[in-house]
Amino acid sequence: MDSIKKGNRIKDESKAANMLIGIFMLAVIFITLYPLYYVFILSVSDPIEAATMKVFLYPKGLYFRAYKIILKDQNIWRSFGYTIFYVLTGTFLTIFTSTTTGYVLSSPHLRGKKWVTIFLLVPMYFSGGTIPSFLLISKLHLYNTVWALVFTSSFNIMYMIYVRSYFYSIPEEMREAAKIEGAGNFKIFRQIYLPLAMPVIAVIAIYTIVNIWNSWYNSMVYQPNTDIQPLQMYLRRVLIEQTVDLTKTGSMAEMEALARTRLSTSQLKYSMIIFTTVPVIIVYPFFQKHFVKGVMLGSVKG
Amino acid sequence: MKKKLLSLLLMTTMLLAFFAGCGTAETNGSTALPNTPASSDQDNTSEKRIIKILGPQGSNPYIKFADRENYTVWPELKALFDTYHLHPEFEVIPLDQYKTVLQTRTASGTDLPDFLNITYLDDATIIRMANQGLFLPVDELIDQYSDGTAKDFFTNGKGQYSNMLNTTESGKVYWISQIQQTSYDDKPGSTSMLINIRKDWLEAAGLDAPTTADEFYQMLKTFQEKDMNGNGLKDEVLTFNPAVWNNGIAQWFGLVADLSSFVLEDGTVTSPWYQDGIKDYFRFLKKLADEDLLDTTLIGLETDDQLDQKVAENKSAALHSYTMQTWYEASVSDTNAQYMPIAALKAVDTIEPLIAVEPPSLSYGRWAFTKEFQDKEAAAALIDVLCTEKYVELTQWGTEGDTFEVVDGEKQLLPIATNVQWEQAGKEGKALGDLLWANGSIFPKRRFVPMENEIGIVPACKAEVQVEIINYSPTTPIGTSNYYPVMTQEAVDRRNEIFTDLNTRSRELIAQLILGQIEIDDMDQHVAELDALGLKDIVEIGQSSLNRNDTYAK
Repeated sequence: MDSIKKGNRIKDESKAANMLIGIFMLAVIFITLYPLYYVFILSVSDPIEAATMKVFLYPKGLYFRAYKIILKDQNIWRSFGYTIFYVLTGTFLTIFTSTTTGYVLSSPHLRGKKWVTIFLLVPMYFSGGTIPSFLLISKLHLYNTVWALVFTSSFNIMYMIYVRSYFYSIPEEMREAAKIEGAGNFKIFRQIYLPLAMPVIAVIAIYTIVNIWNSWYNSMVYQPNTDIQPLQMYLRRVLIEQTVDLTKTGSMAEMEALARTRLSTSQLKYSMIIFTTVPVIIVYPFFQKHFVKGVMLGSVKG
Repeated sequence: MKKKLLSLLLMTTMLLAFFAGCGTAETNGSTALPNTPASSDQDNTSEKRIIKILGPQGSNPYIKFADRENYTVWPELKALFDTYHLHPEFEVIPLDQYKTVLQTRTASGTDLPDFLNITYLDDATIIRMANQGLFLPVDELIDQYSDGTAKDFFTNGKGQYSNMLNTTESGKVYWISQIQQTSYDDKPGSTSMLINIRKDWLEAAGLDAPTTADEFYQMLKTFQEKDMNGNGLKDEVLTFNPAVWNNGIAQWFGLVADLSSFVLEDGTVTSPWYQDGIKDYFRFLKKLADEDLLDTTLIGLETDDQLDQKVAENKSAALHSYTMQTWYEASVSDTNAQYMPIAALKAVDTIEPLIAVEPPSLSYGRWAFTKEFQDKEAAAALIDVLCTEKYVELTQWGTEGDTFEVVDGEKQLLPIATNVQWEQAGKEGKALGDLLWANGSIFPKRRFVPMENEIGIVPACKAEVQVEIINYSPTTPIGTSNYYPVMTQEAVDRRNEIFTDLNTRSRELIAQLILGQIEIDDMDQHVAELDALGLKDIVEIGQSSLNRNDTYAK
């Protein structure tokens, strides 16, 4: 009885508790946002000021040449275009494979469901490694093509499990009622399950978009042709050129070439980071509504 | 019925897709790579032998191999290929990506080109692949199919030393290397790496260039006391990484320039940890650290970001670099900044200071033919091309009238061919072959240059020091790879087994000694610890390799 009478200070909107929570959240916001802000002000500051690391709160000596270089560079725009292509195709295919597989796995009448599930779960935990994957891509004649990136990002077993779990929450009676009405599996999937799966699709979409947008490793392994590489590879290249150990080159001539490259692109890396981050920041709010609903999917017991 | 047929069709499609990846390997020869930017430089290839070449884009920011058709030197090289009926097809990979592409293709044995740059594979991997037959033996190609050009070059000519270094214990040679030989006054001579100090600060402070370690210490103190960068702080420091032995100051104390190395005039491999000057060296560095004259945040760093920052902030009173370097000045916020090298400062009365020198005969990088290349005559022809006088001229001098001229019978580079005018050279299409296709890129370079060329264009304070030390002795090499022939598989495996832990602990000890966390007087204990990690083995491996070098054969 005493414990009931004491009440809950947070629930009862204690001002002190609210203030503490507010201060804590402000700190979290600052820690989250400041690095991006810092990169932004470095990107528009004078290169020498940026190199001396004296820029903290506001830009020093406005310098937009790096952005002009980016906007004029056809390679960056081409990479941007290919990245959009990979994101759109990868997201569509991931949603397609996840929802269709999830629907099948959620069916109570699927024969051998246990074995199919194990067949899917094993590669989720164990993979063949880089060389077997390379061999597969090579033998499928996908090496050095756009499809090497599209197909490698077109499915995710974890998302299939998410969708399956979500479909379990849809009453089975709906499927049976639709079957009684004469609907086939395709119609049930298309007209009943898919419209109800918007929250989970939104979650999968945003996760996939962010993953594909940020990915570069598959491109590094499977795409030596720079014309079809995504934007993150371009950014990585600029960053790598800034951090190469000059003393590990073969000769003084090579050391000088690398030093000159570093000097000429030192500002570019900050601008590139902003350029590659802004699109994702713009897209994210559109998925907010569905994302909040679906973000706890992982905790739903299937 | 319709549903069953549809289900059967879907299952069949899935099964076919499942087994699609289990197809057999491609036919003999290199696989054609879809969307590969392998450019054919000529239309009529029916009479020419095709060679598929894989290599990284060069590091030059202005002169790119992809733009080779715009350069006056390229048609000359093409003509040389035509003479040998060769038609190269190129696949050029960005430098940052090349290692991954190389590793995946060679490890999987798929999509192999005919000729490629294998420099970015480690020694153990190269030797293992060579033993597995992935690379064709170059010495056999030359013996059986060369028209004599390559044979002469590697047997009696300027490639002899490189060939010796590349010979495995079995007597086979699996790759060819870049060859750079520098001379001064028609004798072998090379550049070196030294401590560079701020010349403008020296003059402003009214000091003479230091000639001893103690004078160097006094100079650093004076720079701080007089606040040479004018920011009100005592932050003018020595910026270098003492975790690497090739740092300029270690050599003042007679220490060799690597964990395992040797004095060139002596030929006995040792480690700095075993040498007499080791304690005095650490006492000196500790003194600098204790008095905040040494930037201790740079100890053990793997990249140069923080060093660059200190230089840009106008805080670097002294740094370690090549004697004739000219690129640091451009990044200092003070436009009057100038660095000048100082050499061989006396640190201990009984110890002769060393200078770390770049080998006058530099053989580095590796280019090999893969087993996919069936046309051995074409392979030998390519090696012949790379050994011709014409190739040497195009690589080293470019084209007459565009990049060099002949004055009184001597070739001289034109200003546009020097490194200060790369950007202009890129715009005008006038570049040395070295910058366009060599320098660790598509083809190995052949460069036999008199240092007088380079000495003539750097600031006087650097040129004078370089000339002064050209014949200095004793010296220690920057890197030992140009003196150790190819190690045996066992030596490489043993070295790989112990090197990482040993090197890590060595670097930790260096940091701890400089920062005063452990006692310098307990050096015997520290060395014993390194011995337990295999320091003696590393030295022995080095010595046995050096003994196979004809110059040091014992």
